Amino acid sequence: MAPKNLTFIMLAWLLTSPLPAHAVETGGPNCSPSAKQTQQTQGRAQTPEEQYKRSYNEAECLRRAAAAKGAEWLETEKLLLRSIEEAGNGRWENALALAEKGRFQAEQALHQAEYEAEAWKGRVLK
Amino acid sequence: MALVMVSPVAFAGPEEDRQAFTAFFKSRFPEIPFEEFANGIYAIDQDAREQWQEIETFPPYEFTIDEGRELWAQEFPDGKTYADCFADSETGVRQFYPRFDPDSGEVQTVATAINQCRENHGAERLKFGGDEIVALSAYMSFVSRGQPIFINVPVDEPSARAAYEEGKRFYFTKRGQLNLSCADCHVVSVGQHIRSDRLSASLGHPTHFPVYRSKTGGMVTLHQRFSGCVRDVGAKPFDLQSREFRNLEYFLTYMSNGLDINGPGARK
Repeated sequence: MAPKNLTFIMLAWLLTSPLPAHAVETGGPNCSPSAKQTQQTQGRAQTPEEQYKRSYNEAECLRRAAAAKGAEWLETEKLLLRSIEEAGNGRWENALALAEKGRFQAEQALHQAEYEAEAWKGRVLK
Repeated sequence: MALVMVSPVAFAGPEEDRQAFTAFFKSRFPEIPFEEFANGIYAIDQDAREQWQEIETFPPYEFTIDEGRELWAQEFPDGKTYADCFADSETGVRQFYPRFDPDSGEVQTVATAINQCRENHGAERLKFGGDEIVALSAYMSFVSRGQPIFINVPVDEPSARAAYEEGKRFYFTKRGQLNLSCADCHVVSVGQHIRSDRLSASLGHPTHFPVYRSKTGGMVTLHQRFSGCVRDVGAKPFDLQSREFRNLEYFLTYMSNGLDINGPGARK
């Protein structure tokens, strides 16, 4: 049975351990374009843990970008929080699957927002 | 000029928008008189209307009005009351809200005006969606019953027009996992069934809030209804009285200009 505060411990660990110092200071993943490069492994296969962390960070960055446009979907954040719980219990495959679902949703939300930036005008009653 | 050429409809003025909006519903439901749209879904759904009329025999929101009346009369720490904040409040002010507030540069709703009043007179702000602010809103709607909605988008205030346009954009923008806009349900599919219910017309939506909902057994504000709709299409809702929802209310209420306030109401 996981301790009650495991989610928060995991969240703190996840957001801080693999990231540059300034990401820790801002309380979240580094979502700058250059951050992807710093998270690359050098030529070797990624462990499930590394795969998950990378996927989670990318998903969370996309979720934040969708939220900034007011276009976040309802379940995305919940999926990512569930992925943290799974990671906390060492179930990396489950955690990765949830993070990937979250990433997919966040990507779709962003596509939707970009498309709707113009498309809504065509629906105004005339 | 380029913008007008690209998309003249999206940038039509509020009054042109309102006329087109009204004309759509008149064309879609030619048998329904304009003033009937103030009754929401009960203008369209005869079976539901009969149930509603039965409910209105003993209105479930009556206690809320009484509570609001009492709160309205209470004095603030400086001895003033709400009547000192709302000019001509005896004849009702609900029909003038939401309004553009030039001081803040934002849209002010009844709920934010109540809190502004409290703050100005040394009282604590009320929680949006909480019992007290809902009761006050219900009482204010009750006092305004029969008064036609009169929302203004001042032409000399670019920020007012921008807020209106943002509300319009919200209304027609698809969102969430179901990829639906407000207009998809309440314009395009108006009157169609969604499970056992029929979709109401947006014309007249803001006339009757807050409402007592049988489904929840309590009062629901317009912003809580917005939040529910956004959630229903699989998008993350905005906060009650957020800028997004206030601007949506501004647009939507402008579209219902001329319809009588008949809140608080009762809905399924």
